[in-house]
Amino acid sequence: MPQNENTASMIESFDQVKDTLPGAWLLDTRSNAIRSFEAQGYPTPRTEEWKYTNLNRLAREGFHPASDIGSPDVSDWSDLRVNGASRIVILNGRYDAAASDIGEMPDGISIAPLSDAMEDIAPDLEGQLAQIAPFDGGGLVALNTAFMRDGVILKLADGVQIARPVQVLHLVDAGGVALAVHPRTLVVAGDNSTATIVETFAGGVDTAYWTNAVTEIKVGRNASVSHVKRQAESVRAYHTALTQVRLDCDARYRSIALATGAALSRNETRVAFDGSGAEASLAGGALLRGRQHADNTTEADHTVPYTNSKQVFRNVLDDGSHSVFQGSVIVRQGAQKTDSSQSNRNLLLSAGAQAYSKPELQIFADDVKCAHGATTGDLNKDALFYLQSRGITTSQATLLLIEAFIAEIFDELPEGPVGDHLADAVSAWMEGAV
Amino acid sequence: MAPPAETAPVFEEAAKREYKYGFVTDIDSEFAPKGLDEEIVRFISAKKDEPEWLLEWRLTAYRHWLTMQEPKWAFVKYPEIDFQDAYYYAAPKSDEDKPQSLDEVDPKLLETYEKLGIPLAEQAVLAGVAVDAVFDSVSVATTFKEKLTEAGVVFCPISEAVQTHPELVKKYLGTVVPYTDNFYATLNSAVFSDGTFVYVPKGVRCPMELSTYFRINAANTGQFERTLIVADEGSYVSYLEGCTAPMRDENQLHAAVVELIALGDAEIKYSTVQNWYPGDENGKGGIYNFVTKRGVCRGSNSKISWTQVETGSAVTWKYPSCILEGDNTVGEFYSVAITNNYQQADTGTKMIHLGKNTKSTIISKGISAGKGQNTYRGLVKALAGADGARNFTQCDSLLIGDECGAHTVPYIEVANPGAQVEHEATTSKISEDQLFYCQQRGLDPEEAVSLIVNGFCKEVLKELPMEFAVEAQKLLGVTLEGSVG
Repeated sequence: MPQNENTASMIESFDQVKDTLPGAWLLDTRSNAIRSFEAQGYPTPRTEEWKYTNLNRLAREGFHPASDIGSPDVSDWSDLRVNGASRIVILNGRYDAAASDIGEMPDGISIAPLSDAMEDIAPDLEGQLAQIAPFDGGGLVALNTAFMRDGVILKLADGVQIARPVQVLHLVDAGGVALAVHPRTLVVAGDNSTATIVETFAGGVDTAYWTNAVTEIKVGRNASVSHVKRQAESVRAYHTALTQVRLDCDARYRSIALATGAALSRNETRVAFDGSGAEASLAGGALLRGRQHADNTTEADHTVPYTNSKQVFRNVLDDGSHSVFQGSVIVRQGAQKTDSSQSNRNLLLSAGAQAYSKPELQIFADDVKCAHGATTGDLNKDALFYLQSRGITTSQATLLLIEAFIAEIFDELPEGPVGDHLADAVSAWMEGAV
Repeated sequence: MAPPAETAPVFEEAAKREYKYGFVTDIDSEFAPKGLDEEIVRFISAKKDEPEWLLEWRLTAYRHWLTMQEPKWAFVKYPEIDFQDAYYYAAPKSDEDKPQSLDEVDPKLLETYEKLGIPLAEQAVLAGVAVDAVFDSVSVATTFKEKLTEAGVVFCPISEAVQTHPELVKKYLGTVVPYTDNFYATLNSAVFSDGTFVYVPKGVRCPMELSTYFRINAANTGQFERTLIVADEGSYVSYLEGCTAPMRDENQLHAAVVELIALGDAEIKYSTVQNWYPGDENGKGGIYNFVTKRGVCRGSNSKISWTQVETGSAVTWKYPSCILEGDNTVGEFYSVAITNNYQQADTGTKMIHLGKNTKSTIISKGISAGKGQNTYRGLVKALAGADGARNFTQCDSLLIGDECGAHTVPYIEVANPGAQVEHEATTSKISEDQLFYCQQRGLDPEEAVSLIVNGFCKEVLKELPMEFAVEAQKLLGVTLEGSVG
């Protein structure tokens, strides 16, 4: 990738802010990361992994991390709170203590804003931060590593269960500044521990901005992590996110990621199986309209025997929106008895909508069960007719069918406030559809 | 998975068996000098006594090729190809004076065909097949010409068609696969040696299956066939392509281009059995098969059907495609691809739906054994105008042994809400139970595997014309020899 103006200006901006970033011990890593970005550049559709998502406009917008942008009022977003959850608010890329409410945490749990942790418990972080998602994994993770300023670190000691979900609320309201934020979340779940993490992204509609998030999750032996993501960024925003997960023996990871926001979004989830008996369930999708573009890219990398992965993705597309699903399952040599499935379905509601689907299998072991399926089409005419014949209007019937269609990604969703959080996202989108 | 102890020696012995069709016929070839430049392109064109426009086309393609990069995206690995270290033209000596009947054909050539099991005269009579056998680059014998002429069907080497039907060749050549298409197709456009030309006139049902046997013979000669089949309105033609190649050490490049054009209400059925030398059990040698095959359903209600059985070649890179331009057109792709030892295959299809109510079916069966790598890569694209388009895709992979790989990379791009596109794929292995059951009925392990694999491929094999189906079934067994684990 040749160096160009856009990458050059990003490097310049790094030189300006690097001394103000937290954690002096990280400076070498950050410098290496920006050099890696210099070499890799922004991803382009010329690379297979970015075939369907073009970041050209994003690169040209010239988003930059800003030094300090006051503290706008965040009460407008109070309905994005998950009831009863511990809440950490990251506003414009920085921890907002006033809006956050971590509450009491039992022993064995450490939860802190990343900016504090990078200063206070540096030795603790050194072997963990930026290890699960190394910066040479792509231009965007390199940028995040170079610029990461805040986010959350959550650590669970062995055997600890957190009853309350932990919500990280990422908000951007930069008032006229073309802001880039690079939040980083690190979750380390000890053996036999359990946690639920909710990441919510939203922002003000006045200006375009860019959220470039990286989330690293390590799940210990027989531990269980549920990960819910609601992406409700402003329709002018760009959202790129990488979640990288490592699973130890018998670990369980469940994720549900629903996107309704952003002009262009890319949600990338990569799971590596380090121990036998581990299970990953990745679900997600997007509800889109206008000229929105949403990309869900996944990778389940089975390196050891007896691991399971399941992927379920659903997209609903109205107007001239585009959806992308690139799912990949890799079964390495020796990873016998892998059981994996992949399902992607896309619902096209309008003549201008386009769905791209690429469910990929790479299999190097013979004693495995791997299947995938993908369909694209419009609403089932018979189902629609059936509902109408029961006295339901066309528009109501359509909404009902859309709801049922998207609900397939919620199979693994726990009841309660976390479930409501995503259901709210669906109904908010539906209201716009009526 | 290790083979059961008591059966292991059988497999080892079978694995050492040599390539059945490996032999070299000693014939003086007339070579163009090694390497590639404009002079060579001119030399090839002059050799064929081509008109000016074709030479210009070749040169334009060559100049464009110089600006192109070799594609790297396929799941295949092979040593860098030195395009200057190969011959681009070789003709059997008898080229200057083309034989008028079989008696005049170089007896050594005939011997080659006999070893291949296709004695021309016999096959032509028994099977009712017209054989246009391409030996290296120049066609040596064409049979049943009169019968075809009677029906008005043109079936001849493309070099001959350039002389006898220049208007048809000029009208259609490069319209489906333009010279700018891809690295290997562009190379082919510059240096194509010979190939087949078929034209079926309006409303004619071709009275027999047309068939060409290709065979690469001269050492270090890349073969660059160019096939062009045009089915005019309301016509039907079934074309068979099959090949075997002699054993040798150096890799040989094969970059063919096949163009099919089906006008309104026409139907083209194109069947391939590919059994080129795949390299030895250590992955040494073997053919590089980088082929561009594409058909266009230009008029409404036309149909193109591809059936392929890919068992040979060290590296295969091939995506027979259909562009469904007219309304109500149909595209089909049936494929069996087998990789054993160190073979690699990256193959699949592209179905591009442009017209209304266009339909396509893709059935792909991939079998990997030994250290073979088998990839299905396919594109299904429904454009905004393709109202009511319909696609069904099924890709099944079968793994034999724990060192091989089976990969599936479908690309599904839909821009019309009225289109219905479905894709499904499974991956499995031959189960112990199935093997045990067959063995317990008295089959030896290899017969059992062959039986199970044939069952797995049945949906595809039944699409092949009879003569081919028999050959293909045998081929599956031969290819998998020594692979059971």
